[in-house]
Parts: sequence; structure tokens; C-alpha cells
Amino acid sequence: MGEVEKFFLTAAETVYNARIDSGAETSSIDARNIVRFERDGSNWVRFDVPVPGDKEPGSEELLTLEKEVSRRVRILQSNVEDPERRVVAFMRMLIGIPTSGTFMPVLIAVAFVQTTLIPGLVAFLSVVAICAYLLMSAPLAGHLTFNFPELHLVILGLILLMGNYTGYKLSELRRFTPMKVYD
Amino acid sequence: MGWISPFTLNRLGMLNMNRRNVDYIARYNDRTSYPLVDNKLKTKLVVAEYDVKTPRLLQVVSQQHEIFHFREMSADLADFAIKPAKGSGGKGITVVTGRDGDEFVKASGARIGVDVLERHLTNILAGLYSLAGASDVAIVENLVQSTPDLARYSFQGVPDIRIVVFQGYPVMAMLRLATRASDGKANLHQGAVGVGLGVGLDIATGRGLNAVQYNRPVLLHPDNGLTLENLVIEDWETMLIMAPHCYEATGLGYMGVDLVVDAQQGPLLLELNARPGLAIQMANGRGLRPRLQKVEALRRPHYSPEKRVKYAMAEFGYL
Repeated sequence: MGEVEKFFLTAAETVYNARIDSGAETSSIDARNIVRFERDGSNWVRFDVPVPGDKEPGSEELLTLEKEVSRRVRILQSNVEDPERRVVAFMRMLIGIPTSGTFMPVLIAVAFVQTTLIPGLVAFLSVVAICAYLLMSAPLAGHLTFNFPELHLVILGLILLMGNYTGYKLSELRRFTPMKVYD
Repeated sequence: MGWISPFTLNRLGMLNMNRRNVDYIARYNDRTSYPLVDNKLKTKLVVAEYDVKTPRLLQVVSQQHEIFHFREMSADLADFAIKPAKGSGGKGITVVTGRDGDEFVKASGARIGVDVLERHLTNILAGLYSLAGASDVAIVENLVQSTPDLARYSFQGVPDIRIVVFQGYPVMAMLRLATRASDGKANLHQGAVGVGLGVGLDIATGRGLNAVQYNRPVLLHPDNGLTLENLVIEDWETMLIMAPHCYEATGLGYMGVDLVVDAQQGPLLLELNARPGLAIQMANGRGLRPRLQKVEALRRPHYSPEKRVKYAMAEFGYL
């Protein structure tokens, strides 16, 4: 974790920069126009958070959020005489960076953990790679797809038809075998 | 194990996965009603308006800071269950059956402190047990005490009753009994015993028809050796009437209603299921399709839940 980290505030659906203070129990956010109110018998707070952008401070867009108040605290700072009163509310944030598919091989590895390595490799290579290669290299397939691309719509239609199949699945012919007794 | 011919299955009227999804769930279950059944708290609140009883709600924890109240609330409680509102498949449910000083005794016999339960509540709120990890709400409920005449059939866990309700008609029912193999859980996939229950008039008491474990017919409970065939459920008609009331409450045309019988409060609704499984057909030794088609063919469906139950009891005994 660095000194400054990006985080995603789920309530605002926006990415912010945050300075990490490893000794703090709660974190503070730049909230303006704080209004406390009551809803269904509990204390709530309504406030605006700035949407980060390259605008001048003070002229940024503001986003209004509402949260239930968890507790109230007084902040004592060494350079100020009077304690500052603040409210504490729970907000969800996600820390991390988008990885743009870097971990794809890890996902395949996890799949291999499930299938065990050899059958997984066999299935992956034979079913996916070899079948796709044979299909793509067949002269007829090349001729049809290259000259009549609209044939893909037919395949699309077939897929839709398959999705509407309401008959028995092959696996169900096994699953329902015990029903033989009742015939 | 072998295979069964699709023609035999068709003759038996077995409902299969694809037909259930396309012809029943997609056609009769309005997507906007799903949150009502996928969220146990919403289910509780909506069925209460239709006089369907559920286990008493002790506390709802929807915000992290409300967990502090759990400590004081649970101080005098002997037993309770903590459930994630949006949990599925029984995940994240913690059952406390007793106290040992300051510690809580779980159903498994393990002793845990209040801090473990508080951490569990935090995990639920963060969405550890909810679909897609969405943030969730934890509910603390009164623990259901099963009636002794039903509990003796089950190994540990509370036996529950699943009724499939189609357009407000109870069409098929089964009793699910936990076994040693299912680790006290009433889940058929894990080895619980399913006992088909007669919905028909001639067996208005809810007598056991047929029983299966791992999809194979059994006559006796594997752990306690009790005969399953002639088991009788008390209050059967009350339960059959509760099920269509849940249909009125949610509007879901094809759903599973899970009930338990509490020793003090009688039949209670445990949860609703918008995608009930197909194994109930094997527990009954009968297919669902003839019954579903019979309801679909009705030119004038009955208005009141009581009349629909009367109709189901009169008609489905022979299908």
C-alpha cells in the first residue's frame, strides 16, 4: 500500500485519491453542506461530495449522498483550540487497480485445479483448439463464411432455437432412472 | 444406474429442467417479484400481511454499527438463528441452541464467544453469503423447536415440508428429513431423505406415500430405522392452506413453499423458492406435469385459497 491510493467509493460510483493513515480508525472525506435529519426513528446525514475532475477547487460538481449516522465524534487537533464535531457513517469502498486481463492465465489455472491438469489440458486442447482449427481450416467453412457472412444469422437462429428446447436433457435420462420402478 | 427412455419419462409425466424453466418459471414467475422471495426479510414482511406465520424476528442488523446492539439483545437469549437475508442454499446460517455461561453453543456442539457471532454478522453485512457478493442484511430469528412426533424421524436438524404451488394450487408436497449422511441438513443433494406426501383427499392427513434417499426408494430411515411409509403429518390442511396464501402474497405462479412445524407456534413458513427443484417428483414417485396441466386447463380458477386446496385435495390424489 502506497502513501496515496486510488479507491472506488461505491455510494458515489466514483474513483477518488486517498492518503493512507495507517494509525487511524476511521477515514475522513471532503463532505460539504452537511445536514442531519431523522428517518424512521434513526439519525441520518445528507452531504455533498465533490466529483473529482480538473476543475478549480470550489467549482467542482457535487454529488448528494445520504447515510445513517453510526456515531458522533469530537476531533481534537493540536493547533486548534475548540474540538471539532463530526459524524461517522459507514461507506463501502474498493481499493485496487483494474488489471485488464492480466490474471486470465490464473483463471485457466483455477479451472485446471477443478478438472485436474491432464483431463483439463486434453479437453482444452482437443475440444476447443483442435475442433476450432479443423472447422476454420475446412475449405467449405472458409468458402461459406467468407462469401456468405449472413449465414452467421442462421447460426444465431439455431442457437436461439436450442435455447427454447424444452425436452429431456441427456443427463436427465440418467438422473430420473429410479423412476423406472413407478412405471 | 442405467438409463431411462424419454418415452417412459413422458408417460410418467416427469417435468424436466428445460420445460420447468421455459414453460413454468419464465411464464408464470414475474421477475419483479423475485426480490420478495430471494430476500428472507422481505418474504417475512409480505407474508405477514396474509396471516402466514414465520419464526419470530428478534433483530434486524442492516448497518455495521447496529451490531453493537446484538450483544445486549442476545444477552438473555438461550437459542436463536442468524441468517443472511439474501443467502442461498443454507449458507451463512448459524444456529445457536444453548448457552454455557457467556458462551454460545452451536448446533454442532461447538462453543463460541459473542465476538465470533459479531464477526459473523459483519461478514453477512459485507455480502460474504449473498449472491454476487452484494451487501446484505442479517436477521436474527427465534429458533424453531420441531414437534417431537416429527423430530423423531429426523437425524438432528429440523424436518421441513416443501409444497410446490402452481397458480395458487398446492400440487405436490414432500417431507425432508435430515440424515447422518446429510450432516443434519434437510438438503436432498447432500443425502437427506425425501418423503412424498399425499395431497389428495383420501390421505388428507398428509400421509407419507413413498420415500427416497439419493434418488433411490427407501422404506426405512437410514439412521433410526423408522418406517417412513405411514408417517402422518398433523395440521396438514393448515399447511396446505398456508401455501396458496404465499402465492397471494408474492404473485409467483410456480414456487416452492418451505414450512416447518414448531412445537409452540404450529406450522411456520421458513422460506419461499422461485425455482423449486425437480427431485420432489422422485420422492412422490409421480410426475408433476399431469397436475400442472390440469391446473392450466381450468377455465375458471378458484378465487379463495381454501377452495383451491379443496380442489387440489380432491383431484391430485389420483394423478
